[in-house]
Amino acid sequence: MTDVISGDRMAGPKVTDGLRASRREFVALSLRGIAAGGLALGLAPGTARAAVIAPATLRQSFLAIDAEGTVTVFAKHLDMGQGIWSGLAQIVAEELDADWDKVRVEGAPARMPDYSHTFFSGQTTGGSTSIANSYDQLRRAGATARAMLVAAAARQWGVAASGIETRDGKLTHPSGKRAGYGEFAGLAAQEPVPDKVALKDPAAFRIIGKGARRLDTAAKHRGQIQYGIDTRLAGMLHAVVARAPAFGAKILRHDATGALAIQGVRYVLPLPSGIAVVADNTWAAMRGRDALVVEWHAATGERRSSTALAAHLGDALDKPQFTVLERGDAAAALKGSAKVVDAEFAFPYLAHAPMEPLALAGRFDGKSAELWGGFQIVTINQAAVAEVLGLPAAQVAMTTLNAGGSFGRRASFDSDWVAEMAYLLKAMGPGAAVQITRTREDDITGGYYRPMTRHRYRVGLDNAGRIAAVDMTIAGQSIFYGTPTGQGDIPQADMLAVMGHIAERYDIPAARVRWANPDIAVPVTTFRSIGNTHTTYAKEVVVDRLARMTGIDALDYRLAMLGNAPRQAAVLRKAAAMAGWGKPLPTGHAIGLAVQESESSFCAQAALVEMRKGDIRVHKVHCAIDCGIALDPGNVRAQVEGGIGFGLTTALYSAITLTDGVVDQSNFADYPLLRIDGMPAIDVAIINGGDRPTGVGEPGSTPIGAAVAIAVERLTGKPVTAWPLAAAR
Amino acid sequence: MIRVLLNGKSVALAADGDMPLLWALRDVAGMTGTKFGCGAGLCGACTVHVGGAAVRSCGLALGDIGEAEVRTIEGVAAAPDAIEAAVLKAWDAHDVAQCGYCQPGQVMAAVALLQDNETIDDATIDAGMAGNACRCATYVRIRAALHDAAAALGKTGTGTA
Repeated sequence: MTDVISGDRMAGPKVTDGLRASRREFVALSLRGIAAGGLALGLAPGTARAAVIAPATLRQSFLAIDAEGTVTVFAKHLDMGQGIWSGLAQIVAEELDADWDKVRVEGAPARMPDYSHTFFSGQTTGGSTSIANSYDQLRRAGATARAMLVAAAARQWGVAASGIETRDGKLTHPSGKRAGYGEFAGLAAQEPVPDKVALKDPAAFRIIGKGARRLDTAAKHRGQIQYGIDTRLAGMLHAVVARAPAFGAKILRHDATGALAIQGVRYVLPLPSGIAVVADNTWAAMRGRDALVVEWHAATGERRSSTALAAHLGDALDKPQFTVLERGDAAAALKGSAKVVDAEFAFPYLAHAPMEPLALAGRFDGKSAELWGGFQIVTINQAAVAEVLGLPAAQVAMTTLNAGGSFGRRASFDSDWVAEMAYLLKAMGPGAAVQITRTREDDITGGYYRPMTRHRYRVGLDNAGRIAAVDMTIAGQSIFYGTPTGQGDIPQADMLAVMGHIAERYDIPAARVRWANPDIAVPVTTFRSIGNTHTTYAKEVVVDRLARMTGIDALDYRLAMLGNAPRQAAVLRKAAAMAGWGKPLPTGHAIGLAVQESESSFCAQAALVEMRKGDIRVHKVHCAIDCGIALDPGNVRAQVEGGIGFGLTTALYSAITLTDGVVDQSNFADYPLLRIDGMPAIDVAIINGGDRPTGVGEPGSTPIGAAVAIAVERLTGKPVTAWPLAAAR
Repeated sequence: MIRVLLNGKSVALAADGDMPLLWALRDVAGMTGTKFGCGAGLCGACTVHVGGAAVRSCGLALGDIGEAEVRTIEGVAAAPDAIEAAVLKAWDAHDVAQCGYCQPGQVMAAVALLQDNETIDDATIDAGMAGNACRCATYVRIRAALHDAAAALGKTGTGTA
């Protein structure tokens, strides 16, 4: 008897770390630790829910302990590869004195105020702040649960709580009494929640900073992690959406006949974002879309080509609407300068291209909806879905799964890719269960890019060749406008467009920094390190160029302007020393040095670059990172290694261009990624320059783009004025 | 109905012969370990073994498989042979994955590389793994893990990382 597996009778959803209890059971939870639904963890939505409530559990906002002593940490942030699910779990487990081998983690439901970011409003992930904003909160959560376990054991054993020790998930007492946490989880839930708990002295940490095993990597290596694209619901159909080839273009008409004739295609449904083809499986949906005939209005939407957009940005530089920084009198200081130097730089649109193309699953019963995916700004997404479906937010359950990369794409403030699902669920009506998958072509051409940007600098030098004044303008689209996170359509200075600029990072006595908001209809959003993706590049190239022009050592030139930035100076000195700065190099080799403070961390990189017949080869990158304290040094190194590779792709290859409003690139052949044979050797030094953990997901990703450009300038003697630096492979 | 020898079992899949193996695995067989990354054979996320060789399953039609055995990451995870076990062990020891989405394909490609080569050095790794893209750029650890796996299998070459 062989298995017959039919595509139209899907098995129930997999039970994975990504699935969690029903909404009903979560509503019953509170910080008072009411024991509820221990069996809820591991239940598959869509299957019959067990009515049995297991009493032997402790369940709080950030953790649950079951009768076997398994500790589940609820992560309020998205893990998109930055390792924070393991990191957040480490913080809880440390103060809880948990057995690390019995700790697992899953995404928290969308629920305010319990899961609010403590720096920003809303339940959201970004700015490399997940660990930083959770640190105190999760330490308290772990310590609170530990205190309640100890109190329960003290009560049961008739001993003083102060005599009970906890270690590796066990409670012990000198009298010989001992128990695993599972035995007391239920009783602990009945203890009063203490208002104040003592936190450990970091010197006593056994998990944090000790190289604890990552919780997720083994499953990821074996294909056992469920991403949005892997979600399977009972009766789930698959959809792809035909979207406009030019941003903002409108559909005139469509003919579904060909699509509906494809075997497996069930529906063709117009949505605000395009035409959805819904089928039994993804392949049928894609073939159905290929057979769809859609006519787009020729005149609507952004129809300019990149050259016209570049010219528009150039015009915008001439008339910036906002002054974002004024220090001293830059105009006067420039007039009095010994020498004035001009520089301009151009940066293309960048597509995030996460390896998991955006995909999510959802179902709708008319009164409530549930969505599964790698959600990055989950409560904003939830509100958008609720609005489309006409439901209260509490009736929209969002299950946040691991994301196969994001780099900022999933945080589009208008919830484009999530709202689209809401529109499809609405169009399909009650009973809908569907997954939307984007192809790589959809992803590359789909917009929401890092903005195309131009910089213009006028720098005044004093008699010693040092920077006396900077007058600079940046032209690039706002990420906030027209979104729920921004001020609606009212123009405001968008700090995301200028963050990390030269006058913000170096001691420059007089400066004027202005921002021009261009009028371009290409959708844009956050991209790993946001404004630093261009300000780091431009300012480091300018500074290095000035050093070379004035004959001053490039390290010294920078250090002289970092007197008030000791942590920047420290990583810069370290990276330079690691690279053997000042030692002679073989012909055709140069070291490019770059530093940036971003996301409250400090990162410097020295790239050893060789050029042979115009080809750029990055042999080695020495990197120094100061992220306060490194809770997980192995993951800090991984994030920096990955950030360098990611940034190198950007610097060498990445550009999205448009011809008459249509994106020229479509897949990895014309939007290439760095491959293993292009990856430099990397050497990372971690400097613990603070007493709290700060960001590491983004800071390592931008200095490399400047460092390589600087090396290229040094080797060619020609200025770099635009990125990317190399022709597509 | 197309019959395929899948991880050692003969399985009948209710799909047409022109459906790529990738989608037959993911949507018909319910095996989502093999990932969709580009659909064009450019990223390697969909790598499986067919007849003992690494293949991009997005480009292989179900009808073209015939009698050849298909081995996926699920088969490797469930019952790894010596090479597969060495790869997984090295991958785990180095905590290679970040987002992890490309890693099943990386593992399948790495296994094939070790199966097909008597010695592994940096040049072999470059050539054998360049087809597997990693947007998180975990390449430093992929390289280190491959060297370790090769050493464990007695396939060490020159030019270790």
